[in-house]
Amino acid sequence: MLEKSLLIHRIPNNETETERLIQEPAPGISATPHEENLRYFDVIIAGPSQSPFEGGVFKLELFLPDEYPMAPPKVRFLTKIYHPNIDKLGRICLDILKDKWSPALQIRTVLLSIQALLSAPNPDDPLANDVAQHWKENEKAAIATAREWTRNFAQE
Amino acid sequence: MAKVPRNFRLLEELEKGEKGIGDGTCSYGLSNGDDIYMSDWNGTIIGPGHTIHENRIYSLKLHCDDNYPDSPPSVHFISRINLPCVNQQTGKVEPTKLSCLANWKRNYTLETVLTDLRREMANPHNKKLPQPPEGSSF
Amino acid sequence: MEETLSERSIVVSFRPSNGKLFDCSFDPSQMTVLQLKEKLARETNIPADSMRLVYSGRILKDEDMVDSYGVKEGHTIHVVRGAANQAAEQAAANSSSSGGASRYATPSTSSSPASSSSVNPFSNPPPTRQLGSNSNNFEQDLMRGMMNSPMMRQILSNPEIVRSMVMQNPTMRQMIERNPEIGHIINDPSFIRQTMDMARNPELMREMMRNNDRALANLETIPGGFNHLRRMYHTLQEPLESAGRHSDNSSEAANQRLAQMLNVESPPEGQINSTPLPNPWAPRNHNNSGSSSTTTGSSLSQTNPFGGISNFGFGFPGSILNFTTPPIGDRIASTTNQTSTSQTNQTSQANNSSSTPSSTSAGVSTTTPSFSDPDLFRRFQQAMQRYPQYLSRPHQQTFYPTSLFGSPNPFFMNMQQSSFGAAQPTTIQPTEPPEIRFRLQLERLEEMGFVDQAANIRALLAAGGDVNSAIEWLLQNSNS
Repeated sequence: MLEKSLLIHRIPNNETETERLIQEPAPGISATPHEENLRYFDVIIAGPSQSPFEGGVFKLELFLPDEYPMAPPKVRFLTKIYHPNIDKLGRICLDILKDKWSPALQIRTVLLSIQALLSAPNPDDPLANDVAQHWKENEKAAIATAREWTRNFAQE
Repeated sequence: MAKVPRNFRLLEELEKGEKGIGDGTCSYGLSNGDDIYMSDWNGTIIGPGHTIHENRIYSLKLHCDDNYPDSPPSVHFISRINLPCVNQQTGKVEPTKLSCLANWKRNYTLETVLTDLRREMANPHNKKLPQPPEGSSF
Repeated sequence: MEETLSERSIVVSFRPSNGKLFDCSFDPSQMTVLQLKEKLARETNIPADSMRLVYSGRILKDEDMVDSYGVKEGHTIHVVRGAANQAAEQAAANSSSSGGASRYATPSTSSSPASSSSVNPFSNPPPTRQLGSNSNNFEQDLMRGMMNSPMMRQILSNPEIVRSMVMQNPTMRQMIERNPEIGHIINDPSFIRQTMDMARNPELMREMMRNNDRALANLETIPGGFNHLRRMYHTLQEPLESAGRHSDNSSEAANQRLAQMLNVESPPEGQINSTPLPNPWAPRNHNNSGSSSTTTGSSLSQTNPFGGISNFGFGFPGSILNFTTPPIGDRIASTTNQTSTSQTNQTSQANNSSSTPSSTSAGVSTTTPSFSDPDLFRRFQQAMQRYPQYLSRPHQQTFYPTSLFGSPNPFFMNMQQSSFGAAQPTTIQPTEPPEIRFRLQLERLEEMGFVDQAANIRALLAAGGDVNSAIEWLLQNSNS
């Protein structure tokens, strides 16, 4: 059921970006704009292999604010996930979504970065404090919990 | 202007609420910190000075359904209060009797509702209304 | 996360409902709400048992751990004084709920050494310390102690005594006889109290601005005044204030300049200026010989304590004007917010120091962005038109604080005249030179025999383009 490419939808002002998304599909990622709001996307990211999130299908939402591309898109997980850089409300601690944003980055690179974050959690730069603590103190147990959550919440 | 979708709008409101708004006379936050759809909220209103409400803190609950912010939240007082716009059986704020709910606009927020209610408490017609003892709940 | 107090300690902001925001670092996983309250009690002078903490729409329960509420780095917790301690409440109420005053005034918790060291508020301070500007802190403490002493508070809360103090001054008496409504203000003890609180503490002034609605409510005691104020406040002050919130700095700068103009020593770096402005009632020669010696200390040393007090209470028109606090700034003043006040100051400043008209208008337009919003200004104007009686002849002895103090100083008259009109030039093409902007008014002035164009322009700028006020200005300035 995973899409292999981003669906094709044209957004005013984002035409070239959308077209580039079509030509270079990102594996395991899909983004579908809402019909009534073309700046608002439903996103699906497949849990990367070799990670505790493997086999999971994670729903996210993405919104391009007025200031985009001068300001980063807003992205958040809707599927519960046990990850030191993602908090209980699905908010993501990722530098390119904050101070390291550059207008050269695109929706596609953002989603790829999030996918990479799933492969490489970073408990030293935590958002979900207790998860990060768990990860630092007992990585094995934390990974087991992450697997469990993936099974419980991220599979159809 | 891009229309900010419900969830991102509520995230903005949440962050504003956590950082504390204005002089703190109104405060709000999520009832349940992992409620991913951010539907249920707590609110407090500190009774305006020089009214019968002075020094009281009123607790409320607010519910934002899927249509928020296109349609207003539903608002209930938890703390018992005697106000014309509050149903005395249930604590519900009657949407027809509070101007910001009756004339809801998309740019209104939970803060708008709470500050409007606080204004209602300080309203000359209401500020001396006899009140149930502090600490009683609906 | 740095390992300072504890690996998990975070910095959280606390905002007391009537005080200044402050930060505090602690570990929320190691602390109950009650422990946190005890920690805060030292910072706020609110006893832990009458303190309530509100975070994210919840009242924190004493027995819970702080982190169970999800408090995170950089968040804000509101600190509210509860009604648990009735006595303390009473005291706080006496201090008229003004801004940070309750911090100083709660007798049960006050730890200020000043209040204990000044048991007798009327005792003479050591003469060597009376005049020196170094004694600012000392004076401030003394003043604070005096104002907070129970005796003083009792005196001030008794309208009769306050009134007799005021009536001692012939100028004031005349004023009150002519305007009975002013008498009501004087009968309001909280007004007096606030006047003094604010006169000695500019920080408090800002606090007051923040607590506008509360402070306004204090005027409730003026018969009929409350509703009026409330209406003015909602139509005018609220929108203006929200538009001009960032103007704090500029108004501070303007205040400083005003203080200089009034011959008041500028406050030492990093300190609050507690030196009162010259007494406008004092006879001219007295003023000239020793305006700088009319300090807190010397007033204190007067044998008649009430004489000193009335100086405290009413001898600060400058600071009152600067800060435009709603309770003092009566109807008219409550319509000017900080922004317009700073602009007023600047305008009059510019006029008095004869700087060029263009610099005046530039200053106005840069420091008052709120008036460059035509819509806002239009609403302001409409609202103004609805209250013509307060505006038509601002220089008459009506309601403005300056006139309340019967100031003979033309400087203040200018301030009155320019306080509303000054907004005008900025909305009409701020880039146009005044000669063009005021072409019609200049013609009229010339027709009336005022031929000095430079003076006319200055007058029009001061009057915000109003010909009548400009004439007043010209007449006054040619006299002096």
